[in-house]
Amino acid sequence: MTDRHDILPDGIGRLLELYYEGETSPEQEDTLMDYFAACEDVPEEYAADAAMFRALAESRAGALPTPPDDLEARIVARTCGRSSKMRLRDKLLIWGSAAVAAAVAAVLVLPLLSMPELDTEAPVIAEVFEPEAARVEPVSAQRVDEAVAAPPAITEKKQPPMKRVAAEAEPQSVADESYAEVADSAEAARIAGDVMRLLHRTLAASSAQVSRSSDLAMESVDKAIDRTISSL
Amino acid sequence: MYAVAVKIIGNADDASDVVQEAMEHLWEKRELLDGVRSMEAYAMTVLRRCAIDAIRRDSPTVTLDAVADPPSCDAAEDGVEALMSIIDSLPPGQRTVIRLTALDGRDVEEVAALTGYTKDNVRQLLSLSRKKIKEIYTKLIK
Repeated sequence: MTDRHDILPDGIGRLLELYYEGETSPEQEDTLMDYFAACEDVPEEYAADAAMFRALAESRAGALPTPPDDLEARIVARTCGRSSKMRLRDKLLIWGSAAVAAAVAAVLVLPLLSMPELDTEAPVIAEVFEPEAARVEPVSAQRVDEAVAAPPAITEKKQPPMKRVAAEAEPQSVADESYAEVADSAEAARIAGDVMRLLHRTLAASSAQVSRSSDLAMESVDKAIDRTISSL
Repeated sequence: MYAVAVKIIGNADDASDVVQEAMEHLWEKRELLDGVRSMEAYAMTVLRRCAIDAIRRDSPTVTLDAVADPPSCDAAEDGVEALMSIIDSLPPGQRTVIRLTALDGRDVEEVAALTGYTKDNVRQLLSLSRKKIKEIYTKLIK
């Protein structure tokens, strides 16, 4: 066998032997392929080997096949498309989370939008801006007579600034006309206490509203998820 | 992926099915792919294994005798077509290893890892398939 291969040059015969024993490396197989592809006068007894290696070389050098037009659509249908049905639970969880987030956001914003109404409902606050002139002692009958005789200036002074604040909602004019300094420390402490109580009530009401809305939203999402999972 | 599938499988329709099967497998495992070092190498390994499974599922329908004695097959002229017909006529094991080595360029170790055969098994199957191909070519030329 080896003697027969001696007619092939540069160890090609030995490589051919190894090839048919399955012992060649890819590089040695490339050497065989290159030899038979380039050699035009191969000995007749190697014609079959030459035809085989030339066909192998031709198949490797051939143009890449083009995938069918519908292959991509088929793959999408079997992956992304199928997953949209399989992952309904995931979608529901996402939408549920979004709904909870929206509910919480709405609950947080609503109290801010309604803050002006809270102000109008708080007469305690209005007292802060009440001028000293309005804090008069109960008048006697005599002083009423004097007031009737005297006039317009006194009538204007008696106009309650608290009503103007609530009805006209003009913060700037309130600041200008109703601002009053409190020199009495006891009175200042009383006013500060009123403000703190109002603030506490407002925060407590907002917090309770947020808590109720969140509980309702979470309960709705839980029920929706349970219904969907049980129907899958 | 399609080009490699055609090299291993040998026909366009089956190659499309194999690519689709490989992509489905990758899609199902997509949550685990973050740890894959080379996505391309992983995808090609999945593809080759799907192709090998397809070859094992579909046993050859053409007999060696039918290929060895074709009505008007000129090996020199038909070239690639004749070679592919011969390869397709081989038993699944031989067909798999010859396609992975000769057409897809894999070495013995890679073929062993892909197919689950030992390296000695792969060399034996390669030897059998190459000798059979030469035998048929010899008959065709005469």
